[in-house]
Amino acid sequence: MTGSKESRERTEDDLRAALKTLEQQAPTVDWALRVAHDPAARKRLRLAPSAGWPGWSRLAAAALAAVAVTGVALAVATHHSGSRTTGIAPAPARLAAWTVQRVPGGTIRVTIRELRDAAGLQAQLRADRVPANVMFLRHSFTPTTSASAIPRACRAPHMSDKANATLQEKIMPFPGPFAVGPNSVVLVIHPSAIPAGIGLFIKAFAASPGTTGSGFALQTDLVQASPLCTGS
Amino acid sequence: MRFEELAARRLPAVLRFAAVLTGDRASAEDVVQEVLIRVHQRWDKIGGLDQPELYIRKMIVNEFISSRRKLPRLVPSGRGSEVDDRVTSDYAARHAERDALLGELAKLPRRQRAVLVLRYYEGLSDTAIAAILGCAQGTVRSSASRALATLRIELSGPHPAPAMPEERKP
Repeated sequence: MTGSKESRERTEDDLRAALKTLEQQAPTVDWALRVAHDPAARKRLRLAPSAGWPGWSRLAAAALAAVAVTGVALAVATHHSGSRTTGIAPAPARLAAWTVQRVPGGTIRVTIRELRDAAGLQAQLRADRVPANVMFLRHSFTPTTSASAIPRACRAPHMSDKANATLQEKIMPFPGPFAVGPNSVVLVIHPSAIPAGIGLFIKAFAASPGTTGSGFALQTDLVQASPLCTGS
Repeated sequence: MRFEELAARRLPAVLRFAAVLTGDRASAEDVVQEVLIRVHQRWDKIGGLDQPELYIRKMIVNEFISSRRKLPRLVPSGRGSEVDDRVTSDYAARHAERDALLGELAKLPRRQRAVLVLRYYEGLSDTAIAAILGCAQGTVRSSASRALATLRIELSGPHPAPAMPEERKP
């Protein structure tokens, strides 16, 4: 046996043994089953559903209980929000595609009713000092947590998934008081909780699968703030 | 086969495979969660395959290779100057070498790492690996050869065996 062959075989044996030790890093079966059956159990990924998405029945049941109150509250707030109400100019009996409202305490409430004018919403959020990248997908979409889910111009922040989830919860507590309506989704943002260098990625899309009517959902993630990604 | 049947019989092995492929639990969870949700949604088709488990492994490999996210990987926990041969048992020495090897493995391009895991952990033939990766057998062989060469070179280069006692600093 040549020295080279011996060396190779030794490396291969070491490799087999080393790889075997990684088995202990395996996720638990319970966790995997939970994730498979309930996409909401996924880490990092946070989805705000609109009504009509069967996969969110548990959450929707709680949220829908407040739909009537939510509808009234939104209608009043929109009516009185004046120039702060932005988006596509509504027809007389039609709400704006989206609304950005600053409420007492500096909190910002974003209501999305139609997947139109993402650029306008993005500009409005940035004007309200929220470094954001907004994307609307008008076609059906299955959300993913992989980094390819964020825009190419953006980069994921350097933090653990746990830290990411914790920070997202501080910045965008979910579900908020008006998390879901029959045809809208509401995202509450606390700008003061956004650390320097961090931006928000907000993606609204037609919910899938099994969505009927105009149901859509929202996916959020954190990104590194940059001129190209979040405008600053 | 029902999804629950596959989960009961095969899921533990699939999860171990994902962990070995990615190198750490956080990365394994990232990959597995994406794949399992898609599997569950498409089970009516995947469940009808001859070997659904093989298809799931293929999905895991593809998700791992295509993922752009760089999560922390295992790296050698000790430098040579911190290791004292005089008090290092055989077991500890082997453990340090293994850590070093895993550290080098984590630096490999993902496709090369996948080839090594499929060959040396799963024990698959180059033909089977080529089918999973969607490439030619020659590509599998050259990837494996390049990866092994890198491991040997790296192990004898930048990360030498534990230093001799006289090289230690106070």
